[in-house]
Amino acid sequence: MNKDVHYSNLIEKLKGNKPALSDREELIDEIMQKIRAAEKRTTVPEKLSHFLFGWADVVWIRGAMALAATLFIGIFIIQQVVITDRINSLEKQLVRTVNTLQTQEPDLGIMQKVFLNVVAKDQMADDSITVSRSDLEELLNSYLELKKDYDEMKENRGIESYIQKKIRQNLKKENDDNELDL
Amino acid sequence: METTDIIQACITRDQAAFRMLVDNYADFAFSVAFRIMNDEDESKDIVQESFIAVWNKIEGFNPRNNFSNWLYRIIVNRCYDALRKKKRNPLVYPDNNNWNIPGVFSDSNADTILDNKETGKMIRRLTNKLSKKQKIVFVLSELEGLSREDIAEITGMTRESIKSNLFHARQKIGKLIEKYI
Repeated sequence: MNKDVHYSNLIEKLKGNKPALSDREELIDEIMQKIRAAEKRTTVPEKLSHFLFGWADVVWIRGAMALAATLFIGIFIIQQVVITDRINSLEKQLVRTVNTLQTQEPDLGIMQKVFLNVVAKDQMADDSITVSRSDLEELLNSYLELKKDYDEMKENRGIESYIQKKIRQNLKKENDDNELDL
Repeated sequence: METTDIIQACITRDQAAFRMLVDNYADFAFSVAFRIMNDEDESKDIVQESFIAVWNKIEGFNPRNNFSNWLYRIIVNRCYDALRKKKRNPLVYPDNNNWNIPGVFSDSNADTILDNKETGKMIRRLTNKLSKKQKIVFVLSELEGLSREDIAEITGMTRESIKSNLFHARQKIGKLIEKYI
């Protein structure tokens, strides 16, 4: 009889002889007693913790929560990417506008220039100055007043009489000065 | 009552249901532990510890999963720890070199009924030269008749590792048989 047959016989013999548990009931009682003792030892905070967070031990709830967390993290990442992309795009647009203004110097109204100066302040050259709101308002008011006068003068052809009046005033002043010298 | 229903009741901390579960699986648990440990008292201790662990962890167990495999895993882990401790403080068995068991190698006595002492002696003698992993794989595969997939699930070992451990275990046992026939 060869080695393999002996091996098979031995295994079959061992398989066929299942170890028998003696004092079965005694062992089961001992296990139950230990479990009851352990349950009694459970403190109030442990019971409270189990009552409040015990649901986290339920497998399907744990799985669902993990899935939801993954989903939320995914959405957050996508949202951040979209926002960053949008900010970059807007920033590029603004820089392009400011660069165009600085290089081509288009004929923009003062209001537009002021607006751009306020909005795109960070994008402006380093030698730009800061003015207070009241100074700016005063400057704007003066500009608007002057522009109004100029327009009125142009429409009423009053500029010619104004210049003649000024010339006369100057000539008169010059004559007066000459007489004094003599 | 089905095992799934019993486990469901145990999850809700029903001690009566747990007693039923222990009653149903005590023999199975003892058999596995004894085949690995080859000692009645040690095996009973492992059965106790394992069922207490089952009670403590059952809330995290999915009743639709295979309970036997889960129980196997708990028992095998405890046996592994016990074998490790045993290696540090080895017990001396005076009968280790004695095959004084009737019809050990004869096929004519295949139905011979062995008591726990004889079975333990025989397994201990056969697996004396095996490593802990080889012994566990040998018991689960050859004596418990589990598939490699189940052994992988229970022990956490890879299929290659199981194959290799089983091969070496068979080789060592074969040499031992050769020596005594």
